[in-house]
Amino acid sequence: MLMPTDSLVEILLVEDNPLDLELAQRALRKANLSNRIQVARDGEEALDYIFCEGPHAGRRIEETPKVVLLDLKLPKVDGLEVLRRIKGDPRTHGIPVVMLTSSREQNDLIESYALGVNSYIVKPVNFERFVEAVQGLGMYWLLLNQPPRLA
Amino acid sequence: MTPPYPVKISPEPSSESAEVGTRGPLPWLWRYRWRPYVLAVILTLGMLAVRVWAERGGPARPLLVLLIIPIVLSAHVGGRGPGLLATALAALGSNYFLLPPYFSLSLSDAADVLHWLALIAAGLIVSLLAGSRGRAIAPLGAPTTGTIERMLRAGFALALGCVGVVAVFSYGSLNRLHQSAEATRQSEALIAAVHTLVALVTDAETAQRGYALMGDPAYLEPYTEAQRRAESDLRELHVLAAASSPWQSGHARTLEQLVRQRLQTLSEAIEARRTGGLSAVQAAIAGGLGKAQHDLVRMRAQEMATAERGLLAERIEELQHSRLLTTGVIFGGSLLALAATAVSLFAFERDLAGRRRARAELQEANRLLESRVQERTEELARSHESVRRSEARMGGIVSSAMDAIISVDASQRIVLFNNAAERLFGCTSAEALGGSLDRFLPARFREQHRGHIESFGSTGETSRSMRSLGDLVARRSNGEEFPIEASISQIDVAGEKIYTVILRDVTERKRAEAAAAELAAIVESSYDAIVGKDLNGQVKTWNAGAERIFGYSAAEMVGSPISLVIPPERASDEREIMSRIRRGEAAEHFETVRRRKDGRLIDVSVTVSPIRDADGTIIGASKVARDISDQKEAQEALRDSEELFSAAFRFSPAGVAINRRRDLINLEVNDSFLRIFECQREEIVGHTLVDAGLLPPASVQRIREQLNAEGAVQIEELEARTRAGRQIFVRLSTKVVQLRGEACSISIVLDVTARRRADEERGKLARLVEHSNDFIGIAELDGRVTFLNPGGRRMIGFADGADPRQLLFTDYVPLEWRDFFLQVAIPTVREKGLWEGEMQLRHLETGELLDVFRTAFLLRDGDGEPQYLATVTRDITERKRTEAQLREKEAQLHATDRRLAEIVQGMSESVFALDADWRFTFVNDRGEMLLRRRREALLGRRLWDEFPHIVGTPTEANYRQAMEKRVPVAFETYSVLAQLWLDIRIYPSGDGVAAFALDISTRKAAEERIHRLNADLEERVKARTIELEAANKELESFSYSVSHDLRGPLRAMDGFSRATAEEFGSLLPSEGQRYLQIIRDSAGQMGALIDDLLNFSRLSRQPLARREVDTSSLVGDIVRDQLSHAPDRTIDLRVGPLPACEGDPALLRQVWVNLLSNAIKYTRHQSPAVIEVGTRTEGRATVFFVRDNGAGFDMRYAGKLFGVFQRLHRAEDYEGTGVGLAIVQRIVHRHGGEVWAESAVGRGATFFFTLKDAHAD
Repeated sequence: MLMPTDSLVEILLVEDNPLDLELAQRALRKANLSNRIQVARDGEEALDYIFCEGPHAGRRIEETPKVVLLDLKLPKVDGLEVLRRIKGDPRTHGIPVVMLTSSREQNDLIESYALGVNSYIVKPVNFERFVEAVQGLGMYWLLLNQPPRLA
Repeated sequence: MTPPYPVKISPEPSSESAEVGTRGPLPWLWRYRWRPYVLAVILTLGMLAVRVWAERGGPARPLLVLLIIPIVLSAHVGGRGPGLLATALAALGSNYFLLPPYFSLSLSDAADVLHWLALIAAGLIVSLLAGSRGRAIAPLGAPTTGTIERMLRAGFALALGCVGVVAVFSYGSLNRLHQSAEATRQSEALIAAVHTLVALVTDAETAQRGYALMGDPAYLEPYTEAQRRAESDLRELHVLAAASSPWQSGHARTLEQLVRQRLQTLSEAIEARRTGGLSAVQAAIAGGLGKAQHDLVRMRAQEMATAERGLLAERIEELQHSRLLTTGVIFGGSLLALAATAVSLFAFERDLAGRRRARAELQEANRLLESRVQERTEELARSHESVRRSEARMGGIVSSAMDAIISVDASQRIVLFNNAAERLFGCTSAEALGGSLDRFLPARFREQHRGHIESFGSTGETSRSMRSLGDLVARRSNGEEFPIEASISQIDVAGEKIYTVILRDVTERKRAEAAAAELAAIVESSYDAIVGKDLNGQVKTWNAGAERIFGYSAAEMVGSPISLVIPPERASDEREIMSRIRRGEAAEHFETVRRRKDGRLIDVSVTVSPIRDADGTIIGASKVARDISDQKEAQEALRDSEELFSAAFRFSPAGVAINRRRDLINLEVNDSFLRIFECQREEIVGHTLVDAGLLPPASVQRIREQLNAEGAVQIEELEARTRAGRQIFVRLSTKVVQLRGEACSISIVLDVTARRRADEERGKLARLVEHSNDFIGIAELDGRVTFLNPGGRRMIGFADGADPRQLLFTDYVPLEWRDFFLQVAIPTVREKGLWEGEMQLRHLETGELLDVFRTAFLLRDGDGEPQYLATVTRDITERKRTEAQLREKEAQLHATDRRLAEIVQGMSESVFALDADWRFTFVNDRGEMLLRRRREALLGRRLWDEFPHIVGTPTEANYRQAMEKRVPVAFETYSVLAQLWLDIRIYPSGDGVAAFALDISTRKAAEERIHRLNADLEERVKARTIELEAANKELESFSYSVSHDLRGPLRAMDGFSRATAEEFGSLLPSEGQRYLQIIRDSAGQMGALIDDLLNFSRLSRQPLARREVDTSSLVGDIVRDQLSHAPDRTIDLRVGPLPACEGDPALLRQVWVNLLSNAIKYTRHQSPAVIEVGTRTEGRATVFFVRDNGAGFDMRYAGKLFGVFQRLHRAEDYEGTGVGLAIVQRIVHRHGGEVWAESAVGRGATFFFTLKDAHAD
């Protein structure tokens, strides 16, 4: 798969389930958004990418992805922690984060919003609706929503 | 005293007041209000013209500053209006709105706008400040310093602020300029470096080609040079790219890679040529790799250069912007600062001018005032001089007069007071002048005096002596009164009467007269004979005393010779006296004998002194004679008395001491005194009694004080000590006497020690008798009672104060004892002197009989003759009664004891009794067992001694409480002794307590068991709760996992089925596609199941949020929503009135949704479907129902209806998860309500539910 150069990443997709990952990528591909996706398979990878640590040490933190699609349940560092770190850092708190999860738990929802999540979408079982949701998301955050320009 | 001249303060008419209307400089301009405006227009247009002329070579922005000049001038001259007009004109004219090209307000860039705005702002500030200055000046005619100061301060602050802003801004933009310039330089360097690199590569390539063709190593030199330089160039390129941007940095890396590759390729080709010859290198070059690499290098280099140029252009543009902005700010700020400074200077200048004018005016006013003062001073000096001269003339006369001269005006104020008056009244003229004459008159004469003056004034006489008014008295200022002689005169001065009194002090004269009169009176009234005689012995004066002493009257003696009273034998005396008188000497107090007229000789004491005339010549003698015959007799008497006294002193049995009061030293004591105090004379005389150790100092002090106060002291008993230290008591009488002119005291001392001892003994005995409770009495031998002590009186009821003599000793002996008393007891006493025995007495009042033990005996006189009968009688009634009671009680006790003992012995409780002293008085059999002691070992023993282990325990406290408070006490305790739990009850019994103890060990054990069980149970409940909580947590996390993880595979199933259908659908037969659809449907259904299950489990976890719910609107919402999901159905949905209810709105919504969606689902095959929603009331509960005419169900299965996953229909007929109704039931139950259904197959179903009525409980 073609890895986008760092500066062109528009979507950071954080997903541990390979099947969900493939489906999400397929959906995004169908919406012609696939060439600007960076995938992280767990919370740690996601944080490394966003904060330019570990394998991403050379990346410039100013070049933020335009949206982060974040699964809630993740190995190593869970989604809420990733969200807390992104929203707690002045350099990254402007990145829009969308929780994409199969959990319908009220607590998760409440805590996500308390931490400043920008949107929260429950993954539907029905794939068509999943595709619609993912595509809608991608379009919204990439094309419609103008993130605040970082100085 | 001089009244102050009235000071006229008239405000100077201000010359400025006429000009109050003037409102600024150049007053002529103000005559017509429009003139300043015209001036403003002309000035501004003129300056615009100058500017157009100055800018003919091109726009020169700084000339804009010129326009501030007409604004400032206009504002200065005309104030706010013209200033604003000039500002407006300048603003419009500055950018070609008014001047050619007309109406083309051109603000080309930010700096232009800034300049323009600065000009307007400066104009506004100048105009407004000028206007406010005009207002501040106008009403006062001079600038108000405060306003001016404020303006100055504001102006300079503004200027300073502007300069500060400009400075800060300039510094910032200079920094930015510097940075931009640096960045620009680096960009250029980067572009150059890229180009150099490309050139190097090209050089290397050319060299390689040359070598390849020719094989001559000389061609390789550019190549090796390029290789060498490439390293350093690349390093530099990296540094520059990193400084430029990350993007450039990335490109630099790529470029480096490409260059290296290219150089590698070149070296390989060269190596091929070197080893393989031309053909080999041709083959290598023909591969085209080199060219492609070269193109890539060039392309990348080009990209970098282009990007950097773009960046460069951006930076230059930024630089321009920044420069423009800086210029603008500096220029605008300077303009503002200039304007503010100008305004401030204007204001300052105005202020100075105002001050100068004010100062000049002040000086002028001062000068005028001074000249007026000068004139008035001169005038005063002239009048003062003339007055002074006339006064000097008068003053000379008056002050030199010997008599006091005082003038008063008609209102009696003093207007003249001369030196003599000052001396006389002791008061300076300054004090007296202007005051009233009254102060020099005694208060009692003031009215009178005023009357005299007035009457004198009315007579019109010019002068009069005031002697006719009797003795006149005046008063000095120190209050002393003195006699005066005065005359008064009056003159008319300018229609005002002035009275002048001339007075003279006649005190001395009066005094002399008085002294003479007094002397005469003394002589006359003297008791002594005072006789004046001339040198020849002829009597000149003979006073009353002389008449009395000598018997001759004054008439007889005056003119007769003094020798008449001198016995012939004393004639020589007289001669000698006279010769001494002639010598001018006096003869004092010589005693001699004279003869009275009746011939009796009298002793006289005579003093003769010479009498001199005014010239000091002795002209006679005065003789004062005193009769001393009586005195002589008295001296004789005294001598006799002294002798008597001396004898009394010496032989008195009482001790007598005389001591000096001054130091208390004993002057004399008699023998008795020495005997009493057992000492020698020399030990006492010459010492004080305290020193001699006879009296304590405190007593002496007391005596002394009393002597001082009363002159005499009488002490009945005074404690003293003999010289040997023995305590004695003396009676002391002391009196103050004068002995040889010295205060002494004489003390008489009697030894009363023996009497005192006897008194003491008697007192003790008397007290004994007094306080004895026994009957102690004394009677005459015939039986008449003479004494009865209080104890006896109490015993027989005889009043305390009553006289015992009214009693006979038989009065209180009862009749039955009288014979015995009179015939046995009394005779025994008479015979043997004593009788003792028990008998009875009778209480006099109550008649009660008393048992007594009586002792009767005889009291004899000194000769041993019986004199009185005495008795000591003791009341033994109580003792007798107690003895009887005791005997009776003993008998009773024996009886009850036996009965009680029988009962108590048989009791199952342990019983024992204790007396007030905690001694065991009873112990029953059980008690013996409990106390582990035989009865015999306990009775009479103290509880605390026998069982010391309970001392200090609560048990002891309980025993004591029962004993002391006399209340029953019950308590439970564990007896260590008996190893038992005991229920002990202690009752007060008699004067002790009784204790009942019951063994309750069995009950205690049971209680203990229950207690332990309870504790255990609680422990178990706690553990169970913790377990449950853990289970709940687990369940929650399980639900969470289910929610998250179970849906993942489902999503995959659905997603990949769909992907398969989409991408490979054309390859699948229709059956295959149907299977895929089935997979997807199943996955969907399972998803729904999971959701429902989660909802269901969450229901029991969520707390209820009860509140008032508007059922009508809730159901209305849901109905609308549900109908919109089934647009193709014909549904007759009737909603009746629904009362509000109490509950969790979200959960109730779920109930209604589930019931209504069920109704819609199960009426799918009915047309029309009829659904009815309503309520009915059952008892106090409101029952909601949803009725449909759908498929219904068999009531046999109604029990399963609300179970989870329980379905009464096949899934292919009616889809569903079988959870909906379970959720309904769970929610209704959680609300404390009930849900049920009624139905029949094919005839519809009705679901009812109730909610707990909030008011039901």
